Amino acid sequence: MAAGPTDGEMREEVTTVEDEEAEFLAYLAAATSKTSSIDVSVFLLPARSDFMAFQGYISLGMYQLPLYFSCETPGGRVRMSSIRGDCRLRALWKRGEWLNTGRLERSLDVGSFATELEDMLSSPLPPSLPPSAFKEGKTLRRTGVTAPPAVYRQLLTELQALGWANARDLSPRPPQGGAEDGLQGGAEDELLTLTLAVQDSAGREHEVLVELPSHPSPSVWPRCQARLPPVEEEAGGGAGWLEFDRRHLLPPSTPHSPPCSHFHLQLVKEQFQDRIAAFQDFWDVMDDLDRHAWVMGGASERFRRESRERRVVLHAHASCVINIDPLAPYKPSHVEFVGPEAVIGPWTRRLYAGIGDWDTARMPRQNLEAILGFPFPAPPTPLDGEGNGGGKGEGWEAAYVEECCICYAYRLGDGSSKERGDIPTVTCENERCRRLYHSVCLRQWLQTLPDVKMIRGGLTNRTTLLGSCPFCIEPISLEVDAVSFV
Amino acid sequence: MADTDMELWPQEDNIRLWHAIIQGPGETPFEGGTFELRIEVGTDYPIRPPVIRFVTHIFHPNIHFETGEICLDILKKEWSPAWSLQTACRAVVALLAAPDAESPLNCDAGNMLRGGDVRAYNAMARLYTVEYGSATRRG
Repeated sequence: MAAGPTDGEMREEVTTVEDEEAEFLAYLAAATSKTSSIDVSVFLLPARSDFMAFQGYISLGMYQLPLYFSCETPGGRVRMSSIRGDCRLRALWKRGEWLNTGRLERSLDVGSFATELEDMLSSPLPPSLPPSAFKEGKTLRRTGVTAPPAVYRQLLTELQALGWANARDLSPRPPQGGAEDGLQGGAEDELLTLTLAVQDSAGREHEVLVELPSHPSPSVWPRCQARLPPVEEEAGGGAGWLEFDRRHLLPPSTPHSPPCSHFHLQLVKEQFQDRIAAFQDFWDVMDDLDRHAWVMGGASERFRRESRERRVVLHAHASCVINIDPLAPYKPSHVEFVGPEAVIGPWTRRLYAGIGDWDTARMPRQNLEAILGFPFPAPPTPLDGEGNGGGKGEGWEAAYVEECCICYAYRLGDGSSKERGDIPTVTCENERCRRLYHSVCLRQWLQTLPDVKMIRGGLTNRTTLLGSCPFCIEPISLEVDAVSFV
Repeated sequence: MADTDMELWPQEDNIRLWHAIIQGPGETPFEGGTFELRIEVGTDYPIRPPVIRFVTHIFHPNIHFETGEICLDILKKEWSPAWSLQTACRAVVALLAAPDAESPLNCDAGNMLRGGDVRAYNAMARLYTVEYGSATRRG
């Protein structure tokens, strides 16, 4: 079966879209002239879980024409402009006398659309159909190709083998290109994205995003992404998706495997599990912090698998950023205190003095608690379920404001930025104020003040801005990299 | 902050345009009146102040009678991100009770107060409160 014009291996046999189309129509003409009709059936499967899109194929004699469309309502009227298919389907569509698109358009739901389609195609092809009539294909553009049915069968088999419980999400990439006449626009790279849930040895769940090629072959590998911690030292907290090295996915035994291709999902899973084995200790340490410490920023800041940093509340107005090395998580962690100098000064000295007693057999949290001389405050809200009735005490815990007091947000942007500035780390030194700010927000504010003072650092390229706190009007200072005067 | 004397809401289709209904403070000529404010929140809010104007006509030295422009230091050079829209509206309410005749946008009102003719000012302000001061929320 022809896999479609995008397949590299097919290109030598079938040279142009026009040829393919002519061949197809010639076949139809020949087939329908011999018998009264050919075998026609329409297979459709929901392409989205909300039944707003379907894909499948029209089986027409020896041809199977892929088909994709979306609906106006779940399972309802088919959006004619959304129909995608290959050049053969397009050729079919242009034969108005055989395929009455007006009738299709009037179908009220997907079921009657499919029945209508089958009905029309089962009727004999009008005799006025010389194959050469379709040689006008010069104006045709190559059309989007959805995967042939064999691809879906293969995908189903592989998912079955993995277990359906591990398939989190399966969605088509929206077809790209012109939507005005439905069968135009090249969606050649139309793909499915699959989210696989993979468990590590400690039972933690990880998600692997797999981009499936529409025409799998031994030489085409699914592209995979997963959230892994950044290993390089300079990378900060929020590293995003980490891509697999495709070479890792090459199975040793494929070079001579038959062209019946597969998606290597099992292999993706195994390779991912191999890959994350090295991070088990790291995630144990992070889980310990997430469970026993007050991680700032709410639920979304906890259990971030790709992050090696946690911001932990230590006391009223004081917190610390703990940075764990993913490859040596039990080693002394890098800790940066945030808060007024009067509070964090002694802690910094205690940390320097006590770092020699660090016990690599214990959790970094326990080590830090021993060195600082107090237990980490417990999270104010229970880990499961945010808010309602969370036991914030009556003391400073209840009044603790984690957010920036200028923008009232905790993390700026989408969290993928590696900049430390996206969490509030600047504290007002006035002990009756002690409000927290993002350095970006505070800098913007200070730069609007007519009386802000700038002190340039000598050798370093850093500048200190001196102004007043927006709340208490007491002096506040902020060290920044460089100051633009715009 | 439970506010029974103030209503503040964003326009349905535009988060940067807010409306408020404030009540005239007691023991002032504005008592019993309700006034609509239109609040434009710029993209640089809260670094820059919102632009607040009276939609309802009001007779007050620091509020322009026609345009509704307000002369209030915290909405100009004394602005700080510490203010919120709600507290800024409260400051506007406070301004109604404490007119400043030295920086008038409404010269008639300013001149009355500077001339010490509080009775005339109160009477005029009262007149306009009765005439216009009955704004209600329009959705």
